[in-house]
Amino acid sequence: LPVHTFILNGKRVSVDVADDERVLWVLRDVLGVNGPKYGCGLGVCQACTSHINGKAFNPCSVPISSIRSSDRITTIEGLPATVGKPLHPMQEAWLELDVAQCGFCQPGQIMSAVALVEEARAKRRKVSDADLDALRNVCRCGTYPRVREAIKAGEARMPKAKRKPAKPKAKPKPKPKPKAAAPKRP
Amino acid sequence: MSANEETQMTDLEHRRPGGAGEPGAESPVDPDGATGITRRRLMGYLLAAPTLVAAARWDTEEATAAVPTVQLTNTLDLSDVLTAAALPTASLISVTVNPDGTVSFALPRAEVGQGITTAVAMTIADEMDVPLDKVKITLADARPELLFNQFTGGSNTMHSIFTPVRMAAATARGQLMRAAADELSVSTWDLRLREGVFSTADGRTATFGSLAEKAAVSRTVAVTPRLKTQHSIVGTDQRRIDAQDIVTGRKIFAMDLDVAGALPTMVCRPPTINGRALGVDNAAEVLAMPGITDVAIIPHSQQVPGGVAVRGKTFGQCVEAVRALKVRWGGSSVSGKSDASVLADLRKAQLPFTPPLPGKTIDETFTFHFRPGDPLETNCAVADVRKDRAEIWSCLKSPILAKQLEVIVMPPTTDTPGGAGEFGVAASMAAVACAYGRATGRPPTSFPINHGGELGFEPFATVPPIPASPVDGLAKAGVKRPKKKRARKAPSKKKKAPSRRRAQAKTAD
Repeated sequence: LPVHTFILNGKRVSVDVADDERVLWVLRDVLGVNGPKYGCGLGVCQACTSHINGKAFNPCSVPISSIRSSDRITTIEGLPATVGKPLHPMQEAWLELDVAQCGFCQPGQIMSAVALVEEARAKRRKVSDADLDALRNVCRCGTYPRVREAIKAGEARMPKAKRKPAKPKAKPKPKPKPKAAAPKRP
Repeated sequence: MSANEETQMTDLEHRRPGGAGEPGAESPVDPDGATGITRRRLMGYLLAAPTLVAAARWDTEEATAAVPTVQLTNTLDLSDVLTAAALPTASLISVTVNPDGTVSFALPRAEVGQGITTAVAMTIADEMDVPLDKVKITLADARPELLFNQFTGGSNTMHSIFTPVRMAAATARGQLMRAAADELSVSTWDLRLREGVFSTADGRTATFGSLAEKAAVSRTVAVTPRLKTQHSIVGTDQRRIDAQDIVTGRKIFAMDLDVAGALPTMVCRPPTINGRALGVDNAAEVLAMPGITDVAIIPHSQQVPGGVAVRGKTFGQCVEAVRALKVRWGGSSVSGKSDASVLADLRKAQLPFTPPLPGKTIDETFTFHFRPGDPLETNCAVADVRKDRAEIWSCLKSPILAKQLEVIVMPPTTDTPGGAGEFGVAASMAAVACAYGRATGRPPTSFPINHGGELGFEPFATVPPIPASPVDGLAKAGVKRPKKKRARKAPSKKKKAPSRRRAQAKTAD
């Protein structure tokens, strides 16, 4: 079987799986990373939402063969490490507002929330109600009102990205967007 | 909660026909202060154990006959029936004080997001004057001896368990107080209890942890505990005790259990209600697919939703295998029927309405299509089925149901998973998992089956094939990936194309 390698929660991992194996099964069944949940396997429920190079994605809908060795995949388990604290500010907001009920969708909700704030910041704006309306993470307990509150609270807590030059080339994502957006404004 | 409310909660015989919430119900107060319980009296018990273990019991002859004495016509309240059904075995749940100062309680219910673990922790913390974070609630193993006292449903958990848990906690607190008085050589009246620490006027202290073993008894004894009259934690706003685990992704659901030897297994369900698998035309072919270890027919029965199971190393492989299966199906109980024909049958069977009363009448017909509700969590059970026993790990709202299916349910407490959603369908997964174990002799397995499964009456083919997992996740996430390496190297032509597209997109916006 082909060997695939990528960076998972800050550590390089290599897995021996078929090209078409979806990333969710690589995470859960091969690597034992259970934070991303299996709800539908169809890219609908969003319970498996994780980050690839800082963007939210659904591992159930990505074959491992389309993952590059330089890709940084972050699951809920690795989220606090992205801020170097025991908890990410979004997780703190989640606790403060006591968002969760059964909890099954919540790792995905939080990962979507963090990516949403980062995406808005890349466009130099705050998360809007329209952004929140566009979220598609399903919660059968119906925690949506608290999820929305917590995203705004978490956004306020999240430290603004320091505009220092990124070390590796692996961070091209935030740069092009401001560039693209900047000329439009004046 | 007032004594009045408490009476309504627990005193079923004295209930008035009006049912729950009716004001003015009789509220005689127990002389012991055990809040308004008549006839049945709650007794506390200290159980023989190396550390302090306390329980509570309804101490009358009626308790054993609780179910029959409830007048269904008078109460019209499912919750009362469930509470009454739980009474006879309430003595079998106990509060344990540990030498590390924590208080533990194994809740004989399923936590599926309703917050009962938090509510019970609050109840105990309140009654024992111990900090909430010192109360450790686990989910109990299946305990057939509890009968109806291990059923989660009817919004009844706090209704049925609140007072017994308080009594057990109060019994433990009373015994700790006696031990503290002994330890500190003072009368119990001279002790002050706060945050799990007893203190004397001259500043000497004894903690719950230090007293846990001293307060233990070697012979079970009955005591009469005093319930607190004022709540300090119950009724206040507290966060879920499992919130930290949830937001960090550490909360364990059935699918997250790592049971030695268990492999992902999925069931290809019949395309029709009560359909059964007659045979698999390409079993050998499917068995040869990557990662697949087993292909087995699960016989369909009233308890077991059958089909064809495939077991593989990853769920992705199982999805592919289920999609590839060629199954001969038969035996549907609804052949030739559809939603429309069933609705027509129901209309025919409907009794004619009585003639309208004088005055304005409104005649409307409403059709409610039954839709089963699936939790977001894929229904899952892990089963280790042997010749003479079966061990099941799952989040079951009615483990006794699994017992009826002739399996013994005994998940280890530490691994008992929480669940998602108030649907209680995991029990059927336990049954399927056991049937699979019997059919193949390959223990243990796990069984989520709602991958794209659409449940409805209409007997159209839902599976097979189930939908394949998509491959466009990166594109949807906005992560750009050139399809081939050539695309990158390609010169000017390729560069122009995207810019045109962008221009088009702009104008379209």
